[in-house]
Amino acid sequence: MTTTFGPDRSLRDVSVRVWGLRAPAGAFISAWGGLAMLASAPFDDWWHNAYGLDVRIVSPPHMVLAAGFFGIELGTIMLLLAFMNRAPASAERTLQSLFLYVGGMAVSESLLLKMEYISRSDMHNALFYTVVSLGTPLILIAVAVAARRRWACTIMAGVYTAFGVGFLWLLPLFPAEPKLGPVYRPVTHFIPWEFPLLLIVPAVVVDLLLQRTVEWRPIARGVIAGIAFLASFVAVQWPFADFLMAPLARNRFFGAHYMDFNTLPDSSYARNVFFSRHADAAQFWRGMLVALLVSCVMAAVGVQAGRLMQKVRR
Amino acid sequence: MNGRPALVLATVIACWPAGVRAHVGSPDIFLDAPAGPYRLLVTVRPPSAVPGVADVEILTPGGDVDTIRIVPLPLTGPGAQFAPTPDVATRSDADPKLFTGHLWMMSAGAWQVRIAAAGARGEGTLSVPVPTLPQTTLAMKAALRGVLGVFLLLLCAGAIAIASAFAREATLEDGEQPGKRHIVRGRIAGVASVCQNSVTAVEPAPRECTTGAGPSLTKIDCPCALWPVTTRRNGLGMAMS
Repeated sequence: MTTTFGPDRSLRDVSVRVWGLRAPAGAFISAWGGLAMLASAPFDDWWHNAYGLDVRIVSPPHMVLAAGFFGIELGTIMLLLAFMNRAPASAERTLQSLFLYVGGMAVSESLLLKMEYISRSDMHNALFYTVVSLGTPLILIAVAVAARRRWACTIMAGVYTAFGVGFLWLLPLFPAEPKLGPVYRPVTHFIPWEFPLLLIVPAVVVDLLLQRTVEWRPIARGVIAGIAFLASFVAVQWPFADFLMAPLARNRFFGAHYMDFNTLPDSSYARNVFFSRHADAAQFWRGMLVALLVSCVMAAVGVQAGRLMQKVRR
Repeated sequence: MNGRPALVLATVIACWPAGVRAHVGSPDIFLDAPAGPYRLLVTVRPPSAVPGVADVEILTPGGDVDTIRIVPLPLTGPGAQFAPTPDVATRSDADPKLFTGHLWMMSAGAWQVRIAAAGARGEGTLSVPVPTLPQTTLAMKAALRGVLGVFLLLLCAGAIAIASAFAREATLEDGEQPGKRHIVRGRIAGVASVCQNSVTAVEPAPRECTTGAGPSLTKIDCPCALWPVTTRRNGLGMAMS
């Protein structure tokens, strides 16, 4: 409203016009996200009445909600990006840090949405690597390329890791008890996320690669970044999953002993064993090829999106 | 009445084309049983959608019960060992002998509502078996359909307008007006998002065909252990390992 109707012309000069209103593009995207979140409320209420309480994250009304909060985050990213690309050198560093923090939160939320598919029992499945590659390299690389800051991916992965271990170490300090049945195991405190994925390693690798391939064609840069992301992630997460299954990880630091009240005693998760989704090795390798393809496409789109984002000024 | 007219009358009645509706069974559970020293008349109305809320009404004819706690548990299996925190049933203002409460039933199958009554004569418990099964799928009311339709239109139109404005003006220098090239680029972005929104709007249709018209197949035809809920929680398909 200030930009559209206010007397300050300088605000209108750095705005875009939508339906006669003027504001930075990020503000419109955030408003769209807010509207989507509002729309998800009556939809979710009806869904609960029709199909019962949600026992899964991925349901149609939740996806509308997710579109809303990702819209708000994308809007914030675009808003910061416009400020950053117009800012004097003195303010650029602070805005970059804020920008990378929001990028890190976007990574955290995208992985939160996928929580049902990335538990440690799944970490030796191709589907796990496909699901992680779906979106994660895109967000990391797009924001890193747009930010033009060394170690941008590492900083975002650091935000995600800090967020994850913060939950892991703090939530169990608060008492809680199950209010809903069936209760398969007694619980006396909040149950946190699992130990965060070791995204920090592929993030460092991708940062190094992005620093050394500035002159490359974007598509080649994206493909090589996608391969590097997946290869380094598999290299560290696969053995780390073995460790998480071992008794050594069942402590407050790694938190592998935390299980919610609804975890069935005979499930793979409760027995600390891997669950295989593949009938044979060929199926596994086909799945890993899909994961590689997804990672490369996501990274290539990320490089291209980051280059476009560098030009955003409004 | 001799035999022939009676036969004709019976044939007419039997062939009468009007539809007849009758109640042929109720999912509600009624139980008159003691909980220790207290006599309880219990009514449990299971939810029509699962997971959903069951309504529990407990009448204490003796009027000597002070508090009643209720908790849902699976009837058998590992979930029957540990109870969640019980809810305290609310005493009715209009009738002090009546207690009511609401309980979440989280899966289809054989459940029990465990009732613990306490009063001057000590404590007593009673378990009421409650079978739960999704019975109906709530149709969307016209008003809600209208509200969501307006939201859908606003969101689609908004996405198109924002994409178009972004492509047209977001990269311009301060104060620069969009030229013909920028306007064309904005229109292309708008058309692209029209295509995207069309797909998004139509995409739920196949889902509606499988879940909108009747109760969800997965929630009725599959045993609850096979429901596609959190794999970590119910071990979906984990028997394969």
